[in-house]
Amino acid sequence: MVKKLKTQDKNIRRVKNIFILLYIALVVYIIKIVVIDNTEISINPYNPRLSALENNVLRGRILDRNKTVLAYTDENKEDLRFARKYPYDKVFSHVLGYSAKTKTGIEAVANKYLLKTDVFANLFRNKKDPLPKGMDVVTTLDLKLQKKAYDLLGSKKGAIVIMEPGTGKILSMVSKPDYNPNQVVDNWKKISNDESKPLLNRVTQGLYPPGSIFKIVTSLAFIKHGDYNQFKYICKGKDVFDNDVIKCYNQYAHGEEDLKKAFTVSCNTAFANIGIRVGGAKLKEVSEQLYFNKKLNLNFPYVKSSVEINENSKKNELAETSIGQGKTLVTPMHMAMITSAIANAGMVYEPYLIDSILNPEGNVMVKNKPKSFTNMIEYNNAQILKEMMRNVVTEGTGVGTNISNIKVFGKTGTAENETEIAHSWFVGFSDTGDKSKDIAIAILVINGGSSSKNAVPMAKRLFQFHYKR
Amino acid sequence: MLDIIVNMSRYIYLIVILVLFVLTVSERGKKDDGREFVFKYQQVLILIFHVLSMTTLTLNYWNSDNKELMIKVLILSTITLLVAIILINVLLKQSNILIWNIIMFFIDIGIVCLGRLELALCYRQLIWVVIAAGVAIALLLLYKIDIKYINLTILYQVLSIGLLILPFFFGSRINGSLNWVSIYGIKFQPSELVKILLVFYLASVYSKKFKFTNLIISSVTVAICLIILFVQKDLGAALILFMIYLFMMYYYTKREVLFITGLVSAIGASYLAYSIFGHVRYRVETWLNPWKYIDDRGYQVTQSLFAIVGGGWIGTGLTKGLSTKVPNVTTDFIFTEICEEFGNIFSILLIGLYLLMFLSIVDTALKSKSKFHKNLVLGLGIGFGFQAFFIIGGVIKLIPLTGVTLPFISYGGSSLLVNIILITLVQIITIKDGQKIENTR
Repeated sequence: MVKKLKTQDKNIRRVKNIFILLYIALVVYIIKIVVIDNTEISINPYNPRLSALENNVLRGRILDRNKTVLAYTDENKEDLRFARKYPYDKVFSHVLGYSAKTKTGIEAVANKYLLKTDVFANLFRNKKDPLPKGMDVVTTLDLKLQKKAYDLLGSKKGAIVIMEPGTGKILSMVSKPDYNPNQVVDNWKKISNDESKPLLNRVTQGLYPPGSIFKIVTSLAFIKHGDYNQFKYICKGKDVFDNDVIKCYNQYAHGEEDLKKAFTVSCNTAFANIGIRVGGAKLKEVSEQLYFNKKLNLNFPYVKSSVEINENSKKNELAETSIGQGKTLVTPMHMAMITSAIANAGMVYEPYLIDSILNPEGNVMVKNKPKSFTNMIEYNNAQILKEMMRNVVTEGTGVGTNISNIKVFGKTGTAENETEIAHSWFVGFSDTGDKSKDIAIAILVINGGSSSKNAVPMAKRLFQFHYKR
Repeated sequence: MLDIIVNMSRYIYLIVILVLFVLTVSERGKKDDGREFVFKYQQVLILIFHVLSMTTLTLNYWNSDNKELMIKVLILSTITLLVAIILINVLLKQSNILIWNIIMFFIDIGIVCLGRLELALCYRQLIWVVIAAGVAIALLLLYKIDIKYINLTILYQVLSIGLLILPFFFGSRINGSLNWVSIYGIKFQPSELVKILLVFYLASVYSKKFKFTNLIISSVTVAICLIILFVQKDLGAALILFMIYLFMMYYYTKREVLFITGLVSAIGASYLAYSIFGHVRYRVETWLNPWKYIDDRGYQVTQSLFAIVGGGWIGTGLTKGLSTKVPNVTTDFIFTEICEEFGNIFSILLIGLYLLMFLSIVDTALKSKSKFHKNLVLGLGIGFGFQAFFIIGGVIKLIPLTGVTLPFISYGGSSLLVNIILITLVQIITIKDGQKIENTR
């Protein structure tokens, strides 16, 4: 009798245990949802709580690095979702973004902080009390520098991005054509249908042929995989590759050149030949070392730069690609990162826009520290490239940026494209001896003609402005 | 004023359920079914919960059209709760008071949630609570009749299948499943009643000595019922019925082999059903990636997930959540509403209470001397345990939705009535077994 009971006991105990396991699964799954899936689930646009939240919190402000207010919410408006004000109008359009039903730019990236409130502040709140405030976001942006870049680009189309190579901080990000974020909701139809695509952030998501600034890549490939020291070439102003004619600017014959000279004067024929010597496979390999075709791991939306050559590429493709034409497309952001690498002995720091998060009382809640992204270029090679870029500014196509008080380094570019007028490029950096004061810039003027017409003078004025202060 | 109460009461509700849970755990294991004064503490806690939440709701509806209805709900619910507590403490000392307490708590949570969601439904549910209480009292008075006389095997078989077939003739399709019957305007689900009848049936068959033919006949009967339910697309009821059968059969035969075979064939059958039947595939696909179908079939469960996440650990506070936007929040998704407004610490402890209730029911089966009683209680417990598991699991997306209700909390008169009858039967058996022990001393 007792034995029978014991087996019954065992069976029932088993049943109990099965149920305990099942119910534990329920609990664990809920914990998983609340802890892990939380952010991903809650920001879904189908979640009605998001807009309810937005009307119950006074969205935090966005500030520049010196705490000047760049964006705030007008609390006297009825519907807080459409009460965002930008005191600097168009100057920061793309980088700050807008915050209506959808959000872009920093408004999107920092959204959860802008709407985050102090738990305790809310506990004793009455319905009639003023709304709880969200956190403020301190960006890495420099108001004065941004304004200067904005004014310099003027009525032209293009992009300017300025970074600190030693930290990754983005000091300025300008993209034109632009729109007035104060009117983006009211003028939505007009702005979104505008053929010139003012909503596109051309710094991070615009793709353009790089032209001669790609010679940085070609040079690196040659330095790594060729006898670059022994390189000698006689430029006759033009050369032919598989029925493709490559010409130097104005068909000017540069004469005898080594790698440094060819880089300094931006000789197309020399580099076309270098490209063929290096070969498609190696050129592709080095491009990808520099993060072409690769994810950049930025925490704001961007597109990848692309290069389309390989070991089977034909001569003319290689020639075109080596001088930054062909099918190659780059974003100004990516070019600024490569420039930063050269400025920083090969090490790229992750570009970032948000410096810290403050609570309404001004205390720092979150502080973003510079994070190294990758050792993009070998130390020695970076030094060689740096030296060549100095030469460009002292003796070559970049002399327009040579200023007296600061050492500037750069590379110019005039990129042919599908329109009649080339794009004007300049990438470069300063070396002041104090890493915290150096900047790296990338300037693109769409259909700006030759680099010396637009990009170069803009670069000079930017460096002058920044270092006069 | 209301705001402050709502904000602060979140913490009070947490303390209430935490202490209730801890006290339940501590008293459950005890030989003499726990100490009286502990049960009284639990009842005080339930009253605190009731008073605080009703105050919140009353303040909430004070300036609206629903003021009068709210006052009716307030009065009726409070009276019912007080009367129930008094009756339990005075007349039902020999039953498992722990289980009565948990049920009162569940029902109160249900009334509070329904009051917050849709006052009209809340009032109707309250009426059903009173009716169910009446039925429970009637059963308890009749318990003196020896349950052995209710051991009528064949009657159950016929009744079960008969009731199940009813919807084919008199039924209406609701939400895609054909399992509702309307008599004089009162809707009820025969499948709920059939669940109990089948438990009675299996309990009586399995209380006799082991005969292979018994096993076969019972399996076939269950299979027929399962097929009917499947055709009516009441997959939830079918699943629960299958689980009841599986566990009771295992207990009868004591053969793990059969249990595993049953489980495996169920998995096989499910896979087959998935491949053949569109409506099964539909549900499984929705479960696997509701985000893809977020604006039609995935809408329910995704809104549920938004709400659960929105509740965080301590909840938004009563009346402040947005669960009104979740479809079927008063029935299938009421658990979601609890997660959002009471928080997930609360909802997790609630799951714990359902588990403890299940374990208590199973303990009753253990203590019982009669085989029929044992089987009956075990079957009823398994049905209860799985029902809660299925609906909570479906609502949090652990498993596909099965359209069953959360016992005692979801809106649904027939479900409430049937579950109360179920628990009353368990309590009757507890009382009877208690008496037997007394008699043999």
